[in-house]
Amino acid sequence: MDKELQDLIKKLLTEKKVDYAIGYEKAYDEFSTRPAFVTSAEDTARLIFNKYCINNLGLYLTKLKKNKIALICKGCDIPTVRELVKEKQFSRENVIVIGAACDGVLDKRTGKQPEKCLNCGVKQPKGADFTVGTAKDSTTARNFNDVAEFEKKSSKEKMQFWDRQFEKCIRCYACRNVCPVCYCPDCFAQRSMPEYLNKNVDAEENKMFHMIRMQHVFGRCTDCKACDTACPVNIPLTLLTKKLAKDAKELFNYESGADMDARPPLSTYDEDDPESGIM
Amino acid sequence: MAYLIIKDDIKNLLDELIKVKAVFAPKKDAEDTVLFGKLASGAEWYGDSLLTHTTAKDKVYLQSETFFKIKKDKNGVFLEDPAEPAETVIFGCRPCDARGFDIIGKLFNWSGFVDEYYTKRIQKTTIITISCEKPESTCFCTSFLNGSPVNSTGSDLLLTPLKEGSCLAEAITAKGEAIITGYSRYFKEAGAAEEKAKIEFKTEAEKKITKKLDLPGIKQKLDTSFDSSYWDTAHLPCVKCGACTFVCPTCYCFDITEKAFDNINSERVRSWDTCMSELFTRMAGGVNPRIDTKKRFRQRFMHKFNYHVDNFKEELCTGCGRCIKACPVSIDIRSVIENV
Repeated sequence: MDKELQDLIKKLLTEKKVDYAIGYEKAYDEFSTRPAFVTSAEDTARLIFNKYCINNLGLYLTKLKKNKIALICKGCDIPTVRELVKEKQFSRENVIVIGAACDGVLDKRTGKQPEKCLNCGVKQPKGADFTVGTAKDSTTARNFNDVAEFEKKSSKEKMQFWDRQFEKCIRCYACRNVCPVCYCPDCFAQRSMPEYLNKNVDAEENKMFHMIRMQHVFGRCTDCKACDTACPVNIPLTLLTKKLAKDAKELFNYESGADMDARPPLSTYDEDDPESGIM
Repeated sequence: MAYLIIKDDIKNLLDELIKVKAVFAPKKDAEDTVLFGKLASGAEWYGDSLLTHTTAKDKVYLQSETFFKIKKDKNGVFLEDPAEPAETVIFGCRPCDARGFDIIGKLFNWSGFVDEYYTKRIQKTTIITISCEKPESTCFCTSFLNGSPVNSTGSDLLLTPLKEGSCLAEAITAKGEAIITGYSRYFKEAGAAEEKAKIEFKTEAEKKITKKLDLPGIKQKLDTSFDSSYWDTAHLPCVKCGACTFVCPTCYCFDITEKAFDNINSERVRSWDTCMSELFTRMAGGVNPRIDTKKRFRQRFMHKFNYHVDNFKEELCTGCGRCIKACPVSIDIRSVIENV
């Protein structure tokens, strides 16, 4: 599969169809990979794809806006590209999506498959310009059982759980910075005039940061889990992003990055909109 | 003089220490995160992981340190000093973490200036370090002068696990000595055989660290590579979060801000800041000398392996490898500086 991928990218670079190919390369040991930026056909040999390719490379689209890019995407990363195109952050003509068939990735921190892989409907990528490889597994329908289970807890239990999580938070902003849809050049958390968020790191301020971020990405977050896997102290942000996806689906029948024509729920108004709130 | 302590007695020792001091040690939570947490009993100590997810740095150099509180009552406005720090024990540090305290301690006492907040805390802190039996692929402490899985710099008491289920305990400072004399029932004198076993331990552990950096060579290269085109591409994968700097035992940059509760009551707080953040160098009026993400990326490596060496004759790094593990895109600090 690596060879097929390398040849395809070599061809795209030689034919000058793209300036950059963004894929994966081996990082510090055999259990880790990191994003690789390839600009010449001779350099493609370092590109690989394996079960440690956990990053969502869609993140880099908004950082290289002026370039033509070939982007290696797992099935779960492709909604990110669609979402960014939909938000007019990048034009679809400037990106060639290379779908990589994936049998699930492993989290380098735990060595286990993240929840999204156990519950994945896109192991064979859908909507790519080129597809490399064939996924072994059949796909399973996405379910929200874990969120539904969490919702059953009392408000007090939920608060205790999140207080414990946000006490750990060191506000490194890794979650925000790896988020493909958190591309604001001037994030509210960095504003100093006026200051929305104090630099003081404590459970309350941290909670405020995460709650505001979640509100900002509602209806845009494609639930790619980049924030969850980036967290250096393992805060299960997946519970929050999945809750956003569940609410968007159940309240507005909307799925981020799925339908190019559907209006994002928070940018439109309908008299029949539910009023139950989103959090 | 070296002593021996049986591994089972370590928990008893912790129980005793908890009665008189605040004891912080690696603790595991429901998400498998191992962090330095305050122990309620010795049994809570989790000693099986090599490195905690974050360092013990935040127990001495707080992530948010209140300098003073501003209060108002009917007699006027007055300042309230923060409470005096409590007697603290940091147990289960690794040699790389402990050496971090030595490095930032020099900075907080640089050229005659004494940072009272840091100094007060470190004076009341006893650091008990455990030598590393199983270094990982991200470890590179042996690249540094005296850096080793059994290095005692920065520690008060160094424990080295030996084969027979006991640890060799060596007091490095008076504070470490006080632990051994104060709880002497848990310690017995070690002989020459145990001291020899420690040397074997050191050789074995160091063998597991395969990556060795040529730091003087790297410093020389960095001296002339400020304008190198290398940085134009090297920074591309970096997402400019602060994970690497906040988990680092030696990164010390901070910002001082005011936190207002209402119009009168407020406090002045020093919080960690990161050179990866755009806000770090943004000045009043909006000018920012490091607006470019490339410049911010370059700064981190230049500071650690070039500027700090000029000022302190040692690198601002202990080789713990936490930044490599914490990086969301697995950037390896070793290969970044080697490939310059």
